[in-house]
Amino acid sequence: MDEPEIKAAVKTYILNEYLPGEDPAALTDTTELMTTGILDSIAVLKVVTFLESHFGITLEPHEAVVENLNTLSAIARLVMSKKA
Amino acid sequence: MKTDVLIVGGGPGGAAAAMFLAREGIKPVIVEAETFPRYHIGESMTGAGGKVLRDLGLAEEMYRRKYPTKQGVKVYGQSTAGSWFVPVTGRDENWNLFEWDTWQVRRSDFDKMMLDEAVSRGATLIHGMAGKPLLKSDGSVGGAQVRMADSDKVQDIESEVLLDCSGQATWLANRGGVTGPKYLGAYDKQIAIFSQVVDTVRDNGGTRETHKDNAVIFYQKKFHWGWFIPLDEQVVSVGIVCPSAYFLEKKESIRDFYIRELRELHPELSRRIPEIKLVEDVHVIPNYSYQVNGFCGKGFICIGDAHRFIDPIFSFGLTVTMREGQFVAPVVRAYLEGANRDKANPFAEHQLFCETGIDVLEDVLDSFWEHPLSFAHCVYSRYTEYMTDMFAGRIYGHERQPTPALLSFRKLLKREGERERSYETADQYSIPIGSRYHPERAAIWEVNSPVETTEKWLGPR
Repeated sequence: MDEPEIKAAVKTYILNEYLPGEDPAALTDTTELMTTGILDSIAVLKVVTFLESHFGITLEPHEAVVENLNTLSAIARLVMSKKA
Repeated sequence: MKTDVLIVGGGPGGAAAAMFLAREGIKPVIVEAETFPRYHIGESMTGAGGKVLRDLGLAEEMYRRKYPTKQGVKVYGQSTAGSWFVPVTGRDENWNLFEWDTWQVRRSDFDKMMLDEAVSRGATLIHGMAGKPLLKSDGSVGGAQVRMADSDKVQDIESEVLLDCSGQATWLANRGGVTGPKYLGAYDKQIAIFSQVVDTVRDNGGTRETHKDNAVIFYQKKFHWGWFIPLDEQVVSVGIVCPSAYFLEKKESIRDFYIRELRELHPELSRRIPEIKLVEDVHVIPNYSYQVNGFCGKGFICIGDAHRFIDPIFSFGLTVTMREGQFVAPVVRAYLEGANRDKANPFAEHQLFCETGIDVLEDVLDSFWEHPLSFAHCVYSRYTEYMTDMFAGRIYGHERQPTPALLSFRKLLKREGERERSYETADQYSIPIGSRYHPERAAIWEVNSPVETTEKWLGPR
């Protein structure tokens, strides 16, 4: 699975779960998810759970930090690095 | 007057130590200044705290007195929809996890029960106020001067070992020169304001998570939170903790501040207290975070709050002090029988053991405050089992610490790398919290630093 596919899968998940009815174009690769409050901390944890189950990876606590989860791009980079 | 063991302070640390010493065949003298019952804060125990009472054979008495049983802690985050629950657990002899309960106590009742029980098991209680420690020619502690409550006369009580169980009063550390220096801790700019309320709305029960007597924590934002701890069918201890600066900014009386916070801190807290009815004065403790280095030495050992307190959020205080009271008994017995008499610090090993355990707590607490997301990830999914160990207070080396969860926290806090653990370096093992967490304060910790204490380094504030 490559980076665009990862981004697409995560985007679909976030749109369905947290932004129902939102225009998909409003959620770009660089939209800040956490620092702008689109996702609160509990929602981010659910995203982490999704990443782990969907991509078959396990995140260590020091990887579950804002820098790695704030944008679709950052999330995709994180998933790629875990799958590498 | 002479005794093998003199205990300064008759709270749960002193009483637990006395009862475990009695099991070793040692009957200590306890000096307590106050007349029990008296108000005290620190009401909730963890699983390991409850185990101390079980080990003392007091479980039946705890149930008989109907102290609320705590099945776990519920933590509400910023969004009211989000909460997490940490159940109270125990470990069996094969280290298998099992569901347990522990207690929350009205300290006035509980502390009296513990002290009475210590006396009935052989301790001698002296009502008086400890003054100066008695120092021998080699600098070791050989007892204390005590002003007796009934006669107002000062009497010397000589001891082989003195246990300082004076709590946040840090009796021995404040006398200067006997222990190492007392440092401010990482949470020294916090203030806790608390009282007791009635006519609250409790959870309905039915599951462990909704048990009506559970402790509840409300997290508003970093360093600003509240607790809700049931003490009986009617009364609940409720506290607000926040930065002192925020409290001062508000320019309110302590009582007005407290009442406004009960309404505003968190919707889940105000929902539980529809009408505010206080049944206790509003109490305040500022600057509760500190650490005393060199808290054991020739003739003395400090227990629990008498040497260190970090942060009250996960209710570790009562548990740590009672556990240290348990750990100290065989150490004292061995010393009385002649062990380590020639050592500069006969209790260095015990000191290192206690310090290493509380350092675990500090890493847990710092991770919670500094990295809430990673912390929640550990609790929720990654290391649920290890996290229940830490919440239960299983923090010592023989309790399989450091766990993978703790190692991960240390990575996050950039506190990796083994520090040297040896008998000789015991006094320098735990770098005081203030310096450890705030590198700019590290100078204070350097050997031969010209600055003696964090207080001095900080200057007038």
